[in-house]
Amino acid sequence: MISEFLNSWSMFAPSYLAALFGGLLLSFLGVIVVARAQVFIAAAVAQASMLGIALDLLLGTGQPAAFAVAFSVIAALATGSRAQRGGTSHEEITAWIFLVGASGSILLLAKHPNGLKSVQSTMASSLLGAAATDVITFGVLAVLAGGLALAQRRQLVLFVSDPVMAAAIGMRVGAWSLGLAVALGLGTGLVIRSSGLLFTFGCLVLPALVAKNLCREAGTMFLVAPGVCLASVLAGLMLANYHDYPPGQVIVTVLAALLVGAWGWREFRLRFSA
Amino acid sequence: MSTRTDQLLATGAATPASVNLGTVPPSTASEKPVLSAEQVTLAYGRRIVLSEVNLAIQRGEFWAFLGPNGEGKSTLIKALLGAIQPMRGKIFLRADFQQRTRLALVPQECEVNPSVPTTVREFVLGGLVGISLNGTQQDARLRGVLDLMTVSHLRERSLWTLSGGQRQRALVARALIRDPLLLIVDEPTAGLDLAAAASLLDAITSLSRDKGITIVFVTHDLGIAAQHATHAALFRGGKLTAGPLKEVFTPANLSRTFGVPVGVHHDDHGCVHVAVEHPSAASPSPQ
Repeated sequence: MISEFLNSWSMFAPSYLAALFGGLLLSFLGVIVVARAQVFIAAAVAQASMLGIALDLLLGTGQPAAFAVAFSVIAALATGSRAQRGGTSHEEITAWIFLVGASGSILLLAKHPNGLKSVQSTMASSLLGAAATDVITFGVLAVLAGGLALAQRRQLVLFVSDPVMAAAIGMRVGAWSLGLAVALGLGTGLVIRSSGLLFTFGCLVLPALVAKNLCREAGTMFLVAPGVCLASVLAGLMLANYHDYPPGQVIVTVLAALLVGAWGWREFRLRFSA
Repeated sequence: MSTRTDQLLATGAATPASVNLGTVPPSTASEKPVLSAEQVTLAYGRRIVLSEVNLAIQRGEFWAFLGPNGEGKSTLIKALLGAIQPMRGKIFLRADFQQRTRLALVPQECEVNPSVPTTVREFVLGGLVGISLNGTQQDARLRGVLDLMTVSHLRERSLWTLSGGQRQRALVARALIRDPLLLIVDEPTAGLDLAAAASLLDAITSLSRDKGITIVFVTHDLGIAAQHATHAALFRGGKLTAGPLKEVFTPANLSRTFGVPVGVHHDDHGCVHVAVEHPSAASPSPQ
């Protein structure tokens, strides 16, 4: 299986590397999403990207990445805006964005030639359409995200776990919120355009959820989640290549299976330590 | 509308990188206040919450902020923390608070997101954000504050497996690891049983008495204030009555603040005792 995978590398190198770097980028962002209990927000942001891609197709501008990023950044900012007591909650905004993104992307292209096919193919996640520019973009962003996450790990952990304390000791929590929302929108919007909704959402939340169940400290999640993601993407690509299955779905299945294992490990650890 | 930073005059103040949690010399008359407010008016929009507040807090003092709900205690705390700006007047901070490295907050309860896995070690080290220390210095500070709060044996335990009292102690440890000159404590005994509350209060009081840390303690509990504080600020009707405990804790002041008759008794040891006077009670009982 490994030799067959290596033999296929020359043909699919951009797709494989885009999946690895894209997954790595999303796994760093995913730790913050999961630590802030914002998994549903991630789903809404991903759906908003779909709406952007659909609008680009409808208008024929030929800039799907720009539309996907713009819509996902707007969605991330909207869901991250400060809730007012007695006013509109985060959940309401998130649900609205998720539903409008999901239905709007279909409705916009319902009568467009090949429109629905494009939407369905993006939702189904095809990793085989990545280009060299995707590899470079994802690689650079993954290195930046990883470097920042590891260098600012303590600040990030304090910010996601206790923003009140973070503000009290001088952290600019508004700027941090804004920066993280933009990063989430940017990462999601870029990866979803080349790798599809399922892969993007899967790599955003599943590695971080696995790490959360394996780790005893939030800071360690920033090391474990990328490792889990890289290993799963590699394993998924090999399995998909060997059995001739769609790689995005296989990678997400591998990650989902790992999450079940992580749940089991956590239960075992809790009982053992008790 | 502004916050001015004065020069540090404290002779015994530790540097931000120090691990010194030892005894600090008492404040002298010539030493500038850790923080002071002059004619400060605080408002949310056009609604004035506190007006013309005057306050001077010296190093080593233990201040109790007392008053009914909605009288501006938390608003003044936010202003002291720099979260809101005064509508009028000025809040003066000493230079060593400019980067807030010597200021720490103990919130009312642990508001950490429960979906985040964390150990006591990681949680307490989170208090070092914004402070540059090497690994050895961090370890030394961590050991020091965990010992001080008697939670060293819980160092590797998950924060979520601790009792309420242990978690509050971890909260205080996270604040103390900043080696603060000013510790703001917002009703830390709420929700604790009597033994845990008394133990925590004793620990905080000893910080003020033995380590020279300035404490601002927000509470509803007159008994706690009478037993532990050196100074008090009473919040009522948008005004502040502030000063040394013995001057502020008068039956007239306390009755006006809380809306019920309050008896005050000074014992032979100089301690202040207070009690709400009910019609059936003949005399105040010690707290």
